Amino acid sequence: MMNTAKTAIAVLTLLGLGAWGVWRCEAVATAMRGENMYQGTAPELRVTFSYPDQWPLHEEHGTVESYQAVRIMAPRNADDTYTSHISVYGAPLKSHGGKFDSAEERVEQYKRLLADAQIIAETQREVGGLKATDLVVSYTIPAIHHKGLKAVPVPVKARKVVIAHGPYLYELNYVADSREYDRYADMFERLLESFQVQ
Amino acid sequence: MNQVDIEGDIGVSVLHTVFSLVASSGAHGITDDLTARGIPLGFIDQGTFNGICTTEAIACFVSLSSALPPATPDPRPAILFNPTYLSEPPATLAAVLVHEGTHFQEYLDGRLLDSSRGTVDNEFDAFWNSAAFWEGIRLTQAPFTTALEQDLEGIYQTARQGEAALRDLIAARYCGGAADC
Repeated sequence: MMNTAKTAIAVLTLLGLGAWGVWRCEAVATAMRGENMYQGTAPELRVTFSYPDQWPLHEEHGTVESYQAVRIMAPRNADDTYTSHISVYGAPLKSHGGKFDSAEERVEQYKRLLADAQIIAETQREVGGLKATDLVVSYTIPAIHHKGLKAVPVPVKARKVVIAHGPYLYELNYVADSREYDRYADMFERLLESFQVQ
Repeated sequence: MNQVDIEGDIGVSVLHTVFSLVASSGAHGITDDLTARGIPLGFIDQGTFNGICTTEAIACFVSLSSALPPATPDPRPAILFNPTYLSEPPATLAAVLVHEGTHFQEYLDGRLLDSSRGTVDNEFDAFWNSAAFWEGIRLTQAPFTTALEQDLEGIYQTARQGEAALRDLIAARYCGGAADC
């Protein structure tokens, strides 16, 4: 009788663990309605995250620098001068042929180069279970005087999340026409919540 | 050595200075190609410029014939400058020549019309090269008071953030709502 009870408990435990495992896999790998799941295969960007399924996505790798990136575009802004977008970069750390030794070094360089930017917030958080620095800044992109463009400056608000993990540095960016920042901010937050390094 | 072919009645002296600045820099490969192929540059009248390059451009590279290298196009391609910017410092116009001259090099080696490449690729090469040139002269041009100087400095600062950041900016400005173009 005791043996039967122990066996039953063991079986139920295994079933429970199995069910939890299935649930966990689905939580990681399944996009919600209205979303697609990105699954990177390049070594520098072997990550998964969800993004709005109506937004076009483009993958690229560096030609003069070593990185892999994904760019995902929101709808064009009302002035037809800029497209808010999310981009995710993966690059090797300096010890593996990249530019930066650490996430901290990248964050400091980013802030230094944005000399005319206003830093709105800088916080530490976890993204995909990893330590991340989360920056929100605003600045103005000067007018570009080129054929096919409206030569007007564009005020933007940007969020950059920087993570170092293993031999790679990950940068998750949301850059928006400042007048549209709030409209798509939740999309980026959702991407952060779903982001996992594989 | 071939001489640069500067056409038009205005800004000829300025463009000679502009050309010399690029020819004496690390970007001299561009001026070497322009002279070797006899590519003209010039400030042209505003109406013609607007019709070919659009009002808001500082300059543009234009291939005026459908003939492609190695055939000899007739008329030859040209680099046209907007007379609105005639009084800009030659050093800043030189950075523009590096940008448009890069498009000429892309035309010459086939990259400009390579269907596997697009606007982001072609503009990235041109902006990256002009940013590299601007890096060498920008401190002599500060403070950046003109629209052209602010344009070049903005691109330079973005390029310093890295290739990915510059490609993102180009896509966000040039591609409508597409992620690449």
